Amino acid sequence: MTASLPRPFNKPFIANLAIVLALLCISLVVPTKPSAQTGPIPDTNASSRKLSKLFNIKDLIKSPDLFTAKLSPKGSYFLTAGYVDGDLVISSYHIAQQTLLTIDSARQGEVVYLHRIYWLDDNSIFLSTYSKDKAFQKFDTWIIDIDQQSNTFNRRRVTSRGFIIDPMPSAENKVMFGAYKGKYRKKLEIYETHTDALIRDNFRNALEFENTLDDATNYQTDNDHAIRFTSTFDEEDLIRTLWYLDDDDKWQKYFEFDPTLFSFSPVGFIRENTLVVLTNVDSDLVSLFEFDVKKRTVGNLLFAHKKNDLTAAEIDYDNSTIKSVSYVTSGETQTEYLNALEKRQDTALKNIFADAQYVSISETLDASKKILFSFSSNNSGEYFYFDANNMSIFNIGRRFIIHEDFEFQKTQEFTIRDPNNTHDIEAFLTLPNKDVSHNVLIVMPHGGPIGIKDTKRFDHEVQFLSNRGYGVLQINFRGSEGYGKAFKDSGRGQFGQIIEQDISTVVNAVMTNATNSANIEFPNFDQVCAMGASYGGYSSVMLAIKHPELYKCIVARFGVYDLPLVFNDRNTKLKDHTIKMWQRVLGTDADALLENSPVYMASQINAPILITAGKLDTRASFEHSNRLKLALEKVNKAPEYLFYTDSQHGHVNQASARHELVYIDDFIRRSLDLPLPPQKYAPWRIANEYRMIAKGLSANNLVDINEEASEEYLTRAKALKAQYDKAKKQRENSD
Amino acid sequence: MHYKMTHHKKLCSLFCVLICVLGLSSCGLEVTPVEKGQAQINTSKVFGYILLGLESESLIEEISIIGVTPLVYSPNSAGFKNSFVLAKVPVGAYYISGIKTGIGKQKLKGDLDWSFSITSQEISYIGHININENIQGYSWGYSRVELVNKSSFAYEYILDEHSELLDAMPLRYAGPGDDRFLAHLQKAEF
Repeated sequence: MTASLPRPFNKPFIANLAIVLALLCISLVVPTKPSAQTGPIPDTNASSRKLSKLFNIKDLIKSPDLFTAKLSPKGSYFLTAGYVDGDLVISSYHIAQQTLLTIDSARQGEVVYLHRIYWLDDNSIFLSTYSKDKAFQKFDTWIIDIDQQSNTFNRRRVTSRGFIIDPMPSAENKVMFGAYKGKYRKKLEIYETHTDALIRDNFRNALEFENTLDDATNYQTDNDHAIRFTSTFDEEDLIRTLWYLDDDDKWQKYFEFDPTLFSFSPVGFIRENTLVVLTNVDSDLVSLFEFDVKKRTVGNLLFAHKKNDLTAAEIDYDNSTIKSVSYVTSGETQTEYLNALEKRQDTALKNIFADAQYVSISETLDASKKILFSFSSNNSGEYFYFDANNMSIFNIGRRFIIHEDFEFQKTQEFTIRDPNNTHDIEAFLTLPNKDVSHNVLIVMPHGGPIGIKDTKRFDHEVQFLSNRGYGVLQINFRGSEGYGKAFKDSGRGQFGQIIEQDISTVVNAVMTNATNSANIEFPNFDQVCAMGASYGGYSSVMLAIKHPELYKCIVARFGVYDLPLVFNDRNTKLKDHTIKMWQRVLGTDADALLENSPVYMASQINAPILITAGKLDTRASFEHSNRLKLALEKVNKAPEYLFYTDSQHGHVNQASARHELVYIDDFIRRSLDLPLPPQKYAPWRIANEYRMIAKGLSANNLVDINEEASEEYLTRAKALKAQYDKAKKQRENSD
Repeated sequence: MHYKMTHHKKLCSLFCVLICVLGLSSCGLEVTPVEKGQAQINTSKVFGYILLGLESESLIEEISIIGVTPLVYSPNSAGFKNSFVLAKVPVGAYYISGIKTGIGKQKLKGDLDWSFSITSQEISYIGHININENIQGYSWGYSRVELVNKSSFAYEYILDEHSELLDAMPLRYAGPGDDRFLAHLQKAEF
């Protein structure tokens, strides 16, 4: 096995190791902000390339060059996983020796996904990959031992079926493993074992954990790597029961709750019998509380954000204090460190990353070295290695290398006060690429609708639309996650009602350039369309029904349009507990469901509509989209539709995702009678996209075949190409 | 509409199952699909039309249905994407009891509703039988069988293949759960 630089990382690695490490050594007291680029060497031509050219959809929707990085327990290595020309490649990098070793790479064209990867100790990795087609699913699991001296590795196949409960990284060659045993491999047995046992599927010399609990599968260890927590779920009553193992090795029930209504997540024991939990059982916002496991009561409040739910917390077990809490505020992920040292580090890192967000995704056992992931609404993400000992940082690589060349638009956050002065509505506006702007606003409600939210993260669909000249507005209406229990609960059973009221409040504010929390001067938008997926697809149709004067086109993707059907589109959903679960989202008013179902309001849909769906969608069953299509045809308002063969509740292959997005751009242009972008921005891009649409409409296994439409797109592509050639010739002649 | 089997009908059904178990095979009435345009406008009060959808990559060998008269459908064919079976069967209450695929035979889960009803002078769409079998490693991974409501596709099928029948009688959703869509679609004033 020889070491080689995997292609995706060449440029960043060379930059990092030769230059950036030196440049980015920062002082703890006065952090030095690196010059413009923190990663690759700045390209002198970058400014000229970073014009607002139209993106190639294949550069926007692609497999990531890098999608994870993990530090070994003592920090000798980090491993990376990413795709090279579409093939999965996993590598380890020895930090001191600066040597790279490719430890796994898929054969060319083989569709392999990473399932699990852990460092077992500083030289061993547990790696599980899988490949699947419609009828066959295959897992390959290995333990990989790296020889640091020779920079080679040895790979052994794991024959035992099961999963790692705790990789026990501080103990060499030891692991806490849940093995499926018995005739049909249905019985879960838990072992603290040498890793060799996994290879042979022989646990004779392993230490078996015998106190397994009936119906529990998700065991967790404590800070001492001993099994300590588990939970069970009563499907009938929708009750989750949390258990901990006491000092007498007996499982004690410490809390029961309905996870569809409350949050309750244990973080860890801070003192004997005192657990730290993230919960909203006794509060509106998910906050950090003490919890007495003996009395089963929520105790002291340890930390609460003033307006947002907490999403995570860490305990400093050495000092029995809270190390950090995380939350999403103003659309950005924030981790607040509560001890002085980490707080200073965080300040220094925030200086480096400027207006980008960052999260720590991996750290050594002593937390002195970390892998950080930095991202923002206009940056698809970069991985960094951070050494707190000498406060140095270097760039490991970008999630998508090619995005370095793109100019993405920033998303702006603002809030609008509800007209009844009852609540604030947070929203996000991404402005159109000003060089090709059409002054069109796309209102894009999110899915869910309960417990989902939009944030200021990189969103390839938003960036594509912005690049094509459309502004995009996203709204966290009532029902969204992160603003407390009351806000979330107020959206339940409000399909087509107060949810759409909130959306319309924000749309009106933008269209009238109303005052807002961020003092944003909203640009003039001449036309408005609604576009969304899942609940967003439903909401887009309802917005156009309620405000036919405003919405000039609708893109309804993977949506639900016959609300009573949500409860009984398959007999597996007719169980009492499933109905109860859906009632928590849709409500119990059967009349209201019918009255707010677009399928029964087809005659009120006046704007041009594109319906897209996955034929294998079982969440928002495909039937919904076909019903809407049929209902519209019945009232002679034939919609355009794209029903993708292999797609589910979203696309599972990139060809379908690309096809849908370029078709959407064309649909909006045609619906609003918009011109094509000026040629200097898109000499051949649009023609190529017409070809892509044509190919999809005539190919097997992508979308329903429509030869006529396919021919039409090919004709349009040829006409555009001829137009371009003619203009080019004229330019050459004039030169 | 949701039809529950009466005690008497259940007894009849059980009796028939008993006969089958005793080895008197072929006790079920073979479901014979009606070819395109060949449906007869049925005026009989004892027969109605069943419309059944099939969705599977598996080789479906047999579908067993228990009711006033046990029914058996033996397509012996693989790879149904969105296929339909229209057949004339006795009026009454039924439930789907089992399927046999190339991988094996299985009794359908008793905790799910597999019931449907056939009425005269109506095309009773009972749902799509969706069979999803997956192999993991070198062993049988899982098998999931569901009855899925795809009424809009049933309507499109009948309109394309048996429009003369649709002109004579309505298409009705006859599977588990309530659904008004087909009735709404076939309203005189939409």
